[in-house]
Amino acid sequence: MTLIDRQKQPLPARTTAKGTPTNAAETWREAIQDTEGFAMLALPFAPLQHGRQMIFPKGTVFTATTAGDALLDRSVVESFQPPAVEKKHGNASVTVYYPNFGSTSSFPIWCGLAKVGRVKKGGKLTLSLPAGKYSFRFWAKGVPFTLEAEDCGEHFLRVTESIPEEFRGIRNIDFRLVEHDVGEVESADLISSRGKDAPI
Amino acid sequence: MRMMAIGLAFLLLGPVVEALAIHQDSATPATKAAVVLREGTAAHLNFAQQVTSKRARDGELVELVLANDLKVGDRIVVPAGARAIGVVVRGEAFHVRPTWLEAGHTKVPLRGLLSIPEIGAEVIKQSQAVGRVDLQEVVFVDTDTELPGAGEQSPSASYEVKSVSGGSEVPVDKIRLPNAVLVRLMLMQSISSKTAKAGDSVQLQVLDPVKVDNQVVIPNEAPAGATVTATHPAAGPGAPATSKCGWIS
Repeated sequence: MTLIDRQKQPLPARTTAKGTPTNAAETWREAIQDTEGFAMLALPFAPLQHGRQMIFPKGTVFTATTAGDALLDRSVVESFQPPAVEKKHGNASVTVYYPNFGSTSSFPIWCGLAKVGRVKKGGKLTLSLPAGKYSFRFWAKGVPFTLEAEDCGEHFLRVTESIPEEFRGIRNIDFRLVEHDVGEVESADLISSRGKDAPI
Repeated sequence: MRMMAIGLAFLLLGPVVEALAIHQDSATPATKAAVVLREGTAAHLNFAQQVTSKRARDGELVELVLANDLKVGDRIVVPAGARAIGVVVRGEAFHVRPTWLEAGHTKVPLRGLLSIPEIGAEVIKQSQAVGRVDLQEVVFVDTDTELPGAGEQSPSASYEVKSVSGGSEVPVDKIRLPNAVLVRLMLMQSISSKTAKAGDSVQLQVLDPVKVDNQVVIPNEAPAGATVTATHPAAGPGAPATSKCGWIS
């Protein structure tokens, strides 16, 4: 890691991730039961099925701690201090994005009483809204997620979806407010779709 | 028959969260406005987001929020609604360990556990615990923490190290970044066990600036690097893949 005076500082840490097992035996057993044995015709292909790959998606956040002390020149540090952020005024930008990991092709997005667009898998929808409190939903009567849009703020809402294997077909879908830098990186490569601004 | 979703279980090893504020009484003279939040002060925290045992990964950061004002005497030093951060800890039980509370520009280290019991939580399935946003737990301030501008809210997150450890002298013209300061890093590229190989370089970026004596010493977006130390692509039927990364600056 690079310090403000360009010194390098070690950050020793290790991370291990593991893909999840497919529970193939259980899945095949259920499939054979559900199809009254018809799925046995496909059973010879079962050995081709392997476990899921591990992925650390871009934007994954880790924590680490510095190893050892570092002495920095005070004058150098002071000369490299970031400039104060100038407060701007204007509409807030709200980006709703749906990473590529979901299983649904798209979701309608409602803001307040208005449907403002659809967000596709691997896509994002950016709205320009005056500062204020907004309720986001997936459907007209869905459970709302309240976002307080700040004056000239940039907000990122990630659509997270999970399908518990035990409840096939029933999806848990949430909005999650993501911190600015993470949302910016996660949504950077997603495809933009048009949204209607300033809903009621 | 192959499942559509890519499963990702995440295990964070090694040093994760350490004490954030290390104090030296004589290094920085306290101003008259400064107050000290004493070790052991109770803080009620709410979840600011839903956390489920189904999806939360070990080491994942969780947004928390202070439920009640923290006071020193009659003075509110950290107002209700202040941001706090916890880390998911997965073992036999599933809970969240609080790390720090944002008090103006200062991070107040916390200790304790936010349990997410299956009983009392919103249980979707028998083995799944859900930390709801209205779930409240009591945690404690971990070390005496001086709050120079108590009550002032920070416009952005940053880690502030108040002074130095060990008691050794630091020249006036130097600033010392002590050992074991927490740094949050963000992965700037995806890593897949399907394509990554041991020795591959990985780009990271610092998420929040780290300050010492009110000076930024690790700027936001500072570059960092890591090396993939081993990967094991998914091979046999139903066998999951694994990957290990060793961070090297």
